[in-house]
Amino acid sequence: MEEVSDIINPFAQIENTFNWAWVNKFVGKQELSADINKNLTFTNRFNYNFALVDNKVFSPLVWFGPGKAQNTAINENLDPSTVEIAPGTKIDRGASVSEGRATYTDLNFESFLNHSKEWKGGKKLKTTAGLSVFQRRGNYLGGTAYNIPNNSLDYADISANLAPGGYLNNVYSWQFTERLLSAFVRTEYNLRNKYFLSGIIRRDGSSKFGPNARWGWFPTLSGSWIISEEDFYNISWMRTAKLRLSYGVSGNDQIDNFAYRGLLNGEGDYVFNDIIVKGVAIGRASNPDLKWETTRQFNAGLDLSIGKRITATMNYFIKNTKDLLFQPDVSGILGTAGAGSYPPIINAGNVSNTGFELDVQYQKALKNKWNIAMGFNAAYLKNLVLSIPSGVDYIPGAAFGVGGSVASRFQKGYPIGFFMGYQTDGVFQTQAEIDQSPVKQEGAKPGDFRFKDINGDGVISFSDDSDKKILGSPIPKFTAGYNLSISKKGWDISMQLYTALGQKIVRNYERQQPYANMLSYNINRWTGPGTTNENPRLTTALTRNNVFSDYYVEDGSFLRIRNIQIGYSLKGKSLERLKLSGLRIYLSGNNIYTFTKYMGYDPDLGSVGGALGAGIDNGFYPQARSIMLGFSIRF
Amino acid sequence: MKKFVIISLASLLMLLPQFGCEKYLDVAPAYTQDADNFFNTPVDYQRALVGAYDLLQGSFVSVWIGEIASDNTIAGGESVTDTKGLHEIDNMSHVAVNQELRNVFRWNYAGITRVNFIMENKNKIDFAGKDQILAQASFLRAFYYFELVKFFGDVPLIVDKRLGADEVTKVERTPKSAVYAQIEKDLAYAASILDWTASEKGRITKGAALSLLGKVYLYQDKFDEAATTLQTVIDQNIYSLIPNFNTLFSVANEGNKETVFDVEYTGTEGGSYGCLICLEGNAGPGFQGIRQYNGPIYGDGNSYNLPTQNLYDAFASNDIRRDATILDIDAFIAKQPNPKNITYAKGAGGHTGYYNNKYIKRIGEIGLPDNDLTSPVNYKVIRYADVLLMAAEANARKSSPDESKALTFVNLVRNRVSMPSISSSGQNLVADIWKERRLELACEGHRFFDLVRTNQAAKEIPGFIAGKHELFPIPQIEIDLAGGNWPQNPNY
Repeated sequence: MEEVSDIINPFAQIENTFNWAWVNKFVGKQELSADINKNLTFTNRFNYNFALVDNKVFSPLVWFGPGKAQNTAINENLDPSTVEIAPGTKIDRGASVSEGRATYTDLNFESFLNHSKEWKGGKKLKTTAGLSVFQRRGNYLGGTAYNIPNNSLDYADISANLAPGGYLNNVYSWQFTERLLSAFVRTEYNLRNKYFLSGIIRRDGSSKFGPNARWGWFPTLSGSWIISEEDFYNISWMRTAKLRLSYGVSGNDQIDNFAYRGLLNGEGDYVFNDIIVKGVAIGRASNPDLKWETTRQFNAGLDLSIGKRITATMNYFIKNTKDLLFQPDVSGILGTAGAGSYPPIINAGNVSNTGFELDVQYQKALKNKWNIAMGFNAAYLKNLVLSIPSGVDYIPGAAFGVGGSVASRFQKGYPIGFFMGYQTDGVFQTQAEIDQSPVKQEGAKPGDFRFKDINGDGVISFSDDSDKKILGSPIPKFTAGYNLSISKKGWDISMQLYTALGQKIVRNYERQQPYANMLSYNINRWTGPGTTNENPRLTTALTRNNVFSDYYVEDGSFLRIRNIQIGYSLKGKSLERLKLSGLRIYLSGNNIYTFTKYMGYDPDLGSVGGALGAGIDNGFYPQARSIMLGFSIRF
Repeated sequence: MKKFVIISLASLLMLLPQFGCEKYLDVAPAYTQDADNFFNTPVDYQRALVGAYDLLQGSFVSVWIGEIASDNTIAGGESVTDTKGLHEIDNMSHVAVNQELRNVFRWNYAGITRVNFIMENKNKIDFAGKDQILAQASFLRAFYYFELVKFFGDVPLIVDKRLGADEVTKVERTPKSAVYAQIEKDLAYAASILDWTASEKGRITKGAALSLLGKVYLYQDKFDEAATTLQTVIDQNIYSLIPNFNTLFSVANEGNKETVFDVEYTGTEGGSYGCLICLEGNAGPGFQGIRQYNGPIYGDGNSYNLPTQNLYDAFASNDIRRDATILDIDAFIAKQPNPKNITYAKGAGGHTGYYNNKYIKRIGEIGLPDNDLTSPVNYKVIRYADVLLMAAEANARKSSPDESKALTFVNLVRNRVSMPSISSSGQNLVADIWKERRLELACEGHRFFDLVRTNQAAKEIPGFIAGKHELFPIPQIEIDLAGGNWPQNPNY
């Protein structure tokens, strides 16, 4: 009669998980172009992309121990559960296999006219007008069959199933079609190879939006000026200087199909006469006004070359995304919490990204001496939500823990997906400290966090947001990379570094249940007055210590050695002796080392979790370190 | 000339898509229907009605909270962090951040929305039997609103149309008197149309509608109306108390003569924790089962919703309902032929030595994996004993009390389990009826709401603060998502 937890052995789980996917693709392009006259060409292109994706999942009968939720067998002898298909008739429900095939066909037809003309005085004008028609069609057919013989991987196929009468077996399918129509006109004007101006107007229509919002105009205007070609330019140490400016509008329609309609593809099943009867229910709530997400981007840049060895590029950009497409959490009164139902996809707001990028490269190549190339690039980025749907103050983002807490938000005036939670202020050491505290924190015991009273009302509220504050943003303020390669004689060494600074990560992979392993920092938990002011006590009773607070927000800044490579190339006589024209041996390592204060496996979460779930580590699989030894031979 | 050709060609290309090919982009979803062009045949209404019934199966959360919040049971389970919301409710320290309360809120509104989807189209076509469908839909809407009003008090009342996404932030919390008025209207309509016998097992009947209406009156202290409504049910003589209390809740005895209305469940579809509202089985028995039990009669479960010593002691020792309601695990094991071979584990969330013996996983009543979630045991929302006790209370408390009727009804319930009849009167009779309700209906999800409506909660539930805990807080995230305009329930 011991106390136990619900955790199962992860090795056992991996050993009993079987899934495969096979992808076959066929991609091609046919192009037919005709020169109508010396200025005009007519080009037609037909692109196709055909993919077959087959998948198979085998679910054997497995027993992880008494009472475990992941058991599929009913006891340690791996006996199957039984289903009563008719009064008095029971059949076994054994190991199952699910197989299916998805077929995707992309067809794209493009047709355009190119016209180019030159005039005296170095004037060149190129114009293109074109049309593009795109269709993607997908369909899937799959099935699940039960009672795979001997619970064995050797028979993991639908053809081997032994379900009596086929009673438990099941078939399902889906299909979709999506289409895009585009037309565009582009002109490029070149004056004396010194001044360039180009503009393009696109008109795109997508089947993903309703009849009122299908079409969008997407123009772009850009120009550049090679300043160093001017007569007045006399900076001898900066041989090339080019100024670039552009402003453009682009669109995004990448959402699920038919999101503007309320389809009856939800789940509405009930039991009458002891059998499941399928009813009908709305799936995703409709949004007939769903429209294109548009991004307006302004870019100003400067390309320079300094001296003989250095090139530099600078960019300043302002990127505003309007009518951001996503599926937010919505109020329960909309009724989308039923089985198979979803909130609508909406155009949720405006986000701006402004930033500055710098890239500097240095190159020195001398015969029979050290050749060095190194470069440095850096970017500074500021992300800000400019507006959100009217009526709400914010849209909640990803959850923290399992009790209903929310860690991130989409709110005007803050970065997208910023973290909002309680602020800790040390640990209560004694009951006297709690009693004498001017701020009332219900349920606090010695060893619990003292939370800061953000709104100054003398009470810590665990119901509403009045005592929460901003705890950081998952978006790095500053990213930079450094690359270096050195070679001499036959040897070459190269290295790449990457750093991201200023972002925060939420530690959301602790389950905090008894009879489970805990992170080692818990060794330093509070165990009595004066033991620590940083880590709270551990307890199996109810406590507020696990609400979302700055205790769970860590600095995610890191510097990573992305790659180091050492190689040796044979040259000259030794190469001739081997009758080869080239031989290089190399040792390369990826993800060599990461300098970071972050406690988790990998601070480089990337875009795991989507826009509103960014920076929340639920225990994602870290990037591997790999070492490779290789060679390349040329004959 | 060439310039003209080029420009006209270019403009043609630009405009071609707009004018020629609009239809190309009009892709219709294949093999499925839109919500806006549905309800063209009687079958469409039937199918939408089944979709509205679906949310009844989510009522298991309300049943748990109804017991855990009271003095009948503790939360128990794997740990206090596993279902933090339930543990906080057990402790009367719950706040507006609570996943279980949020599920009660949004699952009931999902059910209401599915009913309103049918009601929006109630005049679209006419056919024989349409009123039967609308009557069942009205009952369902009343059921879902009754849950919401019991839990949260004033809640937005949305009737006969689905809410548009832009209307969400303009909706207010409707005073509960208006919500109750709508509930009464819906139930009266349902009762007037439906028959006493169901067309198939699981369908709502006239008896179900009238009994629920009686309960709704009782909860508002409208004793006169409650008494007359429930009398109609009693006079119809179609329900009776089954003689063997111990077999009331078994799957083999589903749909017995004592069942007035139950939520239907089946074990023939598997389920997982990934989607609790998708379950076609009853998550209660597995939830309340004995952790890692290995022995006869029972299956293994998650050791939640554990009866307290207080409840055990409330029964007289000769009351068979005590052991039928509460499983004393150690006493049970000791009585088996090989006690040493029977093992179980204690959940770290709490242990009292007792388990809910009405809704518990038993061998022979086990569904497909994950069988903690897929029990075939139906949940009895209203059984005839409840009707009799409600009628007894209504008759004892109405404007001119009929104590002999009240005594008849309460003694029918007592005599069924061979308990001696009572003969109290006045306030003692009322107190005895309340006590009988606890004993008869323990572990069925009623206790907390009975204590609140009879003003006994502060006395009986440790930590209960009068003026606050009668209502549960509306989840803060729901308030925020609806525009932040709703005031929270007092003192949260």
